[in-house]
Formats: sequence, structure tokens, C-alpha cells
Amino acid sequence: MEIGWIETTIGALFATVVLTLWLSRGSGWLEPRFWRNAAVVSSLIMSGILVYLTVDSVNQIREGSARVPAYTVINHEIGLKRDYEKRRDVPVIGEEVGFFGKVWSEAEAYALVNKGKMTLQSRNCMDCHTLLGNGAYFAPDLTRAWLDPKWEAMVMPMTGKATREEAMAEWLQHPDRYPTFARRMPNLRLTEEEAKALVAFLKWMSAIDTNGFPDRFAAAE
Amino acid sequence: MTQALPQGKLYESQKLALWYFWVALALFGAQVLFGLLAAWQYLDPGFLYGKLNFMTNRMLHVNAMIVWLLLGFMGGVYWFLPMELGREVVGIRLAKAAFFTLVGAVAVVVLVYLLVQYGPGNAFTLWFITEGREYIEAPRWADIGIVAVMAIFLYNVVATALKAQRITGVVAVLMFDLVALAGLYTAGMHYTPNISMDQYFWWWVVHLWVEATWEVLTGAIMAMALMHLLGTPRRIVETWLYLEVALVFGTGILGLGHHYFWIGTPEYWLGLGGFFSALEPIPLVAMVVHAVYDAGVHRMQTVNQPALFWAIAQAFGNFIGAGVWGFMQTLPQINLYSHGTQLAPAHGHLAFFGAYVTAILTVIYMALHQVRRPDLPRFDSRLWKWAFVLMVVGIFGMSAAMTVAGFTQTMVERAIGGSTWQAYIEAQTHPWFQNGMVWRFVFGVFFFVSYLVLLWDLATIGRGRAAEAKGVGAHD
Amino acid sequence: MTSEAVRDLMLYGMLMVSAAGFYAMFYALGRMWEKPSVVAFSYVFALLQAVGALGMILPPYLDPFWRYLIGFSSLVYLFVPQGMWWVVTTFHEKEHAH
Repeated sequence: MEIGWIETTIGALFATVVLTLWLSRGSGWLEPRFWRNAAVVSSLIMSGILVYLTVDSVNQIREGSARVPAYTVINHEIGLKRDYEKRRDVPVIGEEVGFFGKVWSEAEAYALVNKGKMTLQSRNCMDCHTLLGNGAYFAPDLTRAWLDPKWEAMVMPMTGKATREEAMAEWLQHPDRYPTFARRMPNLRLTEEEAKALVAFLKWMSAIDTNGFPDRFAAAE
Repeated sequence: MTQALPQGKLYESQKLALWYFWVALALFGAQVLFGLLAAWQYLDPGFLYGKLNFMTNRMLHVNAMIVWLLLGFMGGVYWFLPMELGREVVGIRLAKAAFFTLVGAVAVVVLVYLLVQYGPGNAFTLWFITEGREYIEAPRWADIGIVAVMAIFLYNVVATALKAQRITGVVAVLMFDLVALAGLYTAGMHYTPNISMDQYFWWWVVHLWVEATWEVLTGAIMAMALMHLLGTPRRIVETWLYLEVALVFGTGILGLGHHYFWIGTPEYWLGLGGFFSALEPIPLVAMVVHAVYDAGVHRMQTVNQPALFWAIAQAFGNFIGAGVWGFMQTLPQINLYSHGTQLAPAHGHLAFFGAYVTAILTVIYMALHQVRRPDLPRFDSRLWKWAFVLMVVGIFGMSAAMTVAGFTQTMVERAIGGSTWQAYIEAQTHPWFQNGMVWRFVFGVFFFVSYLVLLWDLATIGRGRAAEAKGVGAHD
Repeated sequence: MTSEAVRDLMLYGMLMVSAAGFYAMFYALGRMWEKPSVVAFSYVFALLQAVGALGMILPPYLDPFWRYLIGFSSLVYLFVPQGMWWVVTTFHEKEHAH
């Protein structure tokens, strides 16, 4: 039998009430003992459910799962498609097209994305941008940054680079040189290696199934 | 309640609490200042560009807040614990050492933030400069220090209770909560390239600290405060505290789900998170009734006027900040569009101020009363009312301005524009958004002025002849 | 969802919860001061709270489950002030009688 979240929730609340009443039999509900039991029971039951769901969630968001793709996804074409049954956009992983002119092995792709994540943290990206919607609000959300039309429409001509990844890497190294808005990203002295790694991280992140966030990105069809 | 010392005498632990309070207040000032710098950069993006970027100001703004609130809570516990247990805190020298370690470590971290700002993308940066994860940017060495200080703090509480052979309900809740507080922080000390996994456990610290363990810690401190401030009987206070723990942990733990809507986690979190947070405002509304009752029974009069007003503001602040501003954007169908817009800081500013700043100010005013003039029948000044009103107006003004900006962003950038880079720019240049940012800065300045008034009042209340005259004339 | 739908849901949500709070506040104040007029005034906010809930429930924006949930919490809000007032007063009387 499939146990959904509604059954879990109602079951947890029901168990909390029943167990509290059973433990507190003999005391009125305005007595401290009743609420002490309620506090202990509800904390234990809810923590227990959280631990159980965490085991399940962690398995579902492991890299290489259906929701969070393997790092080698950077070798592939990535897009978004409307899933009308689920009423949301889902990422679609297309054919192998390579990344910075080569196909990255599993180990190489891991090393690259890992470097990108380190770069992201070391430059405090989250204190201006949001990632998966979390962070600060001084700069655009990066969840689907790889898929943003502005790279092709504006940044590629501006930097004179032939591919999206090269244009992104160049822009990230000299954001102060290529303004797009009154607010310019400061030059955070990214090395070429770090910039490439960061582009890989962003490309990988754009293939994560985020339950449709942000909705209809770039009016995806 | 037990009160072993004669009037006017302080426990060592209470003297230590005062140090905590003053450092907390200084960091409160730093929080407001860096907030103002960041707010100004929305209006003039060239200001300090490349020197002290928005990211650094913003990081200092939120980190100063976390640290000062934590210091305030610790001060509150060190203040009330000896009165609660009727004896000096065990391991007071260790506690003092921990205080200086913490203050020294904060100073080093802040200097590195200001002077170094960021580093190359490797493990060294994460260990010694910044971890770059919003709210818990503190480098790893400082993380270990924070856990160590929390462990010492926990030891102080547990050892004192054991030595006093007296574990009251409040102290039991406190011990239980501090274990959770220190333990949860370690969930934020891991590195993984997987951003979904990263954010999953990052929320264990951010949400379960702020919306569960901090709420209970404040509850325990306010419980001790109300026993002294209003003379509420222990049985009532403790029953309320248990009830609060049941509600906060009962809804807050799985309420974590409202942060798991869009980070790659499974769909069941949409239902779970939405369900628990939709019901969350109900207990907060109930608390409003209780606050009105408490205030009414005492006819808004007590020995310590400012403490009473800040305590009542806490019930309302919690309801408006967490309840109204939280509910407005918590259903997943709405949150899909409002998540990550200025609505989030609007909610954050109101909720942190309403739930925590008010509580710490209550405790500080109570402590100052006992330190300076325990003989005064009524601890009062003219200035605190100004600080109170200005501060409440300031925080509401900022939040209202950010709400308007956030609505604009939700509509223009998210619902219409498809959330792209260009849509972001269109929302940010929309007149409603820009006006919102102007007003946010104006009310920010307002708030800063109210902070100065508050500081002046805290420095002078109960001192000098003015207090004397007022004390003599006081009645009730 | 259209931008109008998002806007309406947010504004009605704000109205619903804030009115619930004002209802609780004025109800408690009315009982405290023993002024039936203030208690009567608080029912204006009870009504507004219900209007907020209906504004979220009646349009077809949300799936049935969420409408039931909002309907349920709206009903709860109608009785929170009375229920809580009873709890608080009974509790304090009982304790002070000890």
C-alpha cells in the first residue's frame, strides 16, 4: 500500500493526540503534566518522521538520481519541457554535445562541478544571487541560469565568443567589463579554470528537477 | 521563586550576562549599519563598488544579527539561571573564558570578512575565510568554536541544575533545547558539491534553529522573565511553556517542508510543508489573546514599564511577522512565484524583530532595573517610549516597503516575465520596486535613529536625579 | 497561474490572517474592559477574516484539498478568541484559587 503525505500527516497528529491522552490519563488538560507529555510526544513523533523522510529524500536527491542528474549531464543538451499532467516544467536531457569542446568522463565531470561549487562558496555568490530560490535578492536567480536567453542574445555578441559556455566563462572573469544593468557584478578575480568550473556547476544545476521552480522559465514550452 | 541574594547584589553569572548584553547591543548597531550600506547600494549601485560590495555588507548584516541574538539569549539565560536555581552558576570561569573566546573569534571573523572578503575556490577558503552559505558563512574553524562555546554553555546549565539538585520545568526545557541547538549546528558543517543535498541540511540549521530551537529558547527565557516581571505563578508559566514546545516542535519540525518545495527534493514536501505552515498562524493568533489578557490584568502597569511593553510587543510581533507575512506566501501555489523575492526579507525583518529582538530587549530592561535601582518601585524613563515607537514604526516601514517591492517582483519578474535575467532587470527597474527601495532606506535611517535613542536610554535609565524624582512620584 | 491569481491569493491571505489577529485582539480587549461594544466591533474583523478565506476558496485557483484546508482554518479562527479567552481565564482562576 502506498502511504502518501496526507496519511502520514494525519497519522502523526492522531498518534500525538492519542499517545498524549494515554500518557496523561488521570490528569486534567489544564495541568502541567498533560502539556509536558504533549511536548515530549509531539517532539519525538515529528523528529522520527523527519528522520524517516530524510533517509528517503537523501536517496532521491543523490547525484545520478531521477531528480538530481549525474555530473556528466554537462556533456548533454539541456532543456525544459512543460509536463501538462503535473502542470509544471521538467528538465529534459538531450543528446551528447560536449562541453568546452570535449566530452568529460565521470571523474572529470565530478572534479569540474566540485571545483565550481567550491568557487561558488568562496565568492559568496549566495549573498547577492539566489540558488534554487535561496540567497540574497540583489542579483538574478541562478537556478536556470544556463538556460537564460540573455547569454545568446547579449553576452555572446558582447564578448565575441562562439559558444555559450565560452561566453559565460569570459563574462564571469570580467563582469565589470560587460555591464548588463545599472548594478554590475564586481570582478571577483575568477581564474579561467574557476570560471569554467562555475559554468559547469550552473549547467548541472539547471538540470535538477525543482518541482517546476521557477514557473515557465523563459516561457518554456 | 528562589532569590538567595539580598537586594542589590548580583551573582557572578549575572555580571557576565551584562557583558553579553552590551556586546549584543554593539553588534545590533553593526547589523543596522551594514544593513543601511546594503540598502543604499540598491539606490546607488556604484557606492563602494569593488571595495565593499553588496555581498560583504549583506553577509555582515545577517551574521551580526545571528550572533547578537545568540549572545542576547545566552545573556538572558546567565541572568535568570541563578535566580531560577537559587545558586551561582557552576563553571563560571569557564563561562567567562567562553565569552572572551567568542568575542575574540567574532572580531577575527569580521576583520577577515572586511579585509579579505573572498578567496580562491578551494577548501582553504571554506576553512579560513568564508563558507559562502547564506547565514552560516562563518568559516569552518569558527563553526567548531561556536559548537564548543555552546557545549560549555550547556555544561553550565546542566552542572548548575545538578549541583542545585533542582530541575524546574523551565530548566528541563532549556537543557533539552540547548542539546538540540548545539547538535543541529553540526548539520551545517559539511561540504558537498550536490547543491540539493547542501541546501537540504543547510535548512536544518537555518530553519530548525530559527523556527524551532530559538523559539523554545526565547519561550524559556520569557517564562522566567514573566515570573519576575508580572509575578505569574510558576505552574501557569511552565504549563504555557510546555504548550509552546508542543506547538513549536509539533508544527515546526515538519514545517521545515516549506523550504523543501523547490530545492530538488521529492514532491511530498509540497503537501507536508504547505499543510503545516498553513495552520501555523492559528496558535500565534491564540497567543495574542493571552498577551491582551496578561497586559489587561496588570492594566499595562508593572514595576518595569519598558520591559512590559517589549514583552507585549513580542506576542504581536510574532503574530504579524511570522503569522501574517508567513501565511501570505507559504502555500506552494503562491510560493512558486513569491519565493526568492523581496517578500522574503519583508517577512524576515518583521519576524526576527517581532519574535527575538523584542524578547531580548525585555530581558535587558529587567536586568538593568535590578543592576541600577532595585529599590525603585517603578523603573521608567521618558526616552524608552520614543525608542519603542520609533523602532516599531521603522521596522514596519521597512517591511511595508519591501512588501510592495516584493509584490512587484512576484508579478513582473515571476508570474509575467518567466523569471529570466531580463525579467529580473525589468522588475528591479519598475517604479514600484524602486520606490520601495527608497522607502526601505528612509525607514532604515529611521530605525538607526531609534537604535541610537534606545542605546542612550539603556545607558541612562535608572541613573541620575531624573530617576530619583520619578521614583518618588511613582504609584501603583 | 496568472499574475492576477497570484496577486489575489496573496492579498486575500493577508486579509484573512491579519483580520483573524485583529478579531482576537479586539475580542479580548472587549472582554477585558467588559465593553460589549468592543466585542461587537471585533466581529467586523471575524467577518473580514471569512471574506479573506472566501476570496481564496471561491475562485478556481487552488485544488480542492487546499480549499478545504483554508476553509477549515477559517472556521477555527472564528472560535479561537472565545476558546482562548475561556482557557486563559479558567486557567488563571484555577491557579489563583490554589
